[in-house]
Amino acid sequence: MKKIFIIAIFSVLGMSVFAQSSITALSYSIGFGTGDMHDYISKTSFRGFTIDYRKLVQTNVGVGVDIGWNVFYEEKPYDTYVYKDITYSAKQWRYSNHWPVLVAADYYMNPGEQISAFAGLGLGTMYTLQNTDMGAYTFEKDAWHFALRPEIGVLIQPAPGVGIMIASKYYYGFKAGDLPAQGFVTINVGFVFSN
Amino acid sequence: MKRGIKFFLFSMSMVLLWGCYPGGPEYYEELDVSLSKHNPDYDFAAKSTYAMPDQIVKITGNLIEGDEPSFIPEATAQAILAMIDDNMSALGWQKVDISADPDLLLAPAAWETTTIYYYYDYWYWWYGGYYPGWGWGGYYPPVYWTSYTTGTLVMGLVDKDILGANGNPVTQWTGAVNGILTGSYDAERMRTAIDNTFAQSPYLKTN
Repeated sequence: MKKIFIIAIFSVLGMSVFAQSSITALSYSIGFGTGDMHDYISKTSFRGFTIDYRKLVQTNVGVGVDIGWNVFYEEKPYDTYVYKDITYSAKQWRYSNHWPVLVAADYYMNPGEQISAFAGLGLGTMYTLQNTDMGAYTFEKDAWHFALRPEIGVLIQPAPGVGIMIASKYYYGFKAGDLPAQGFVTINVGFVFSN
Repeated sequence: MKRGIKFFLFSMSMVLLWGCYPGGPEYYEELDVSLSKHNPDYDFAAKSTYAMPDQIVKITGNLIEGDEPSFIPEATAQAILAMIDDNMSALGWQKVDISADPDLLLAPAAWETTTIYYYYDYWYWWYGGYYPGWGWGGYYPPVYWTSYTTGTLVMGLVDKDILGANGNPVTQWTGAVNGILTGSYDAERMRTAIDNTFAQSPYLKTN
């Protein structure tokens, strides 16, 4: 009886995964700056989220959107800086906000399984807003970057319709406006809902 | 039901994320800024004397419209001028009277700027009218305002023999300190800020 019950449960789970037509993930995002982004703020960002939606156009291919927000922050100690012919000394509070809005496609390795690794690519834009606060003033730069985002991860769906996603994404916004290229790696952990 | 869970998780995530948005300065003195700018072609080392008035003019009003010039309080001015003298002396400069034909004139000036900003409490508005059946309320959100005042001290080193296109002497070095005013003069903050301005300017050294 117990075996029949377990088989029945797994059958239902398998059917639900196979039958799903879309995947929505809400995830908490930790960010690590790279390149020029890291030069500006070297601290890890523990403030971020991502919303992913994929319509399954094939059993193992999902197409949809990836939107999110990551904010990096670092308090720089009192120091002296030189900008052109001006020298200034102050504490600095640096903020770098990033809002990627991407069209994304994922390939699922094991679409019928409870645990399925996946890899994907996103393409779109990323809005960056950087503020350097000193004294009572803020120096602001912003830009809309053309952005790419490769991603790998794993979906764990122990029950029909809900699950967990663990993923790593690399957002790269090409140089735009006054800002150099903005790149950061994220570790995402979140809930997954599938229909 | 699942839609409700999604909305709940999303809402909670937003609240938590906004709640832990990065912080900023905690103390007034953290906002003090020292700044300097100079003419890199000017040979400060070839000079040795300077003169400085015994008052600090406060830039306010409009002299063209007939307003009288005003000065910052005597005691505060003397304390600040002494700090400037200390730094100039440490760099090898000799203070002389204006009648002794000094190489440079050090002209200090100060001003205050008050910034007022206001904001609407949109949360109040949202709370009162967002959800169907809760009623719009028919009123605007509350408005709050606050302000802060910054003080700026500028020190300019002027060579009277080098005139600009407008016929006025050109400032060869400018030092400035800026910070939030707290209502009482803080000598320690002022000394640190002035010292840092001169520390940025090793090219002023004549000894």
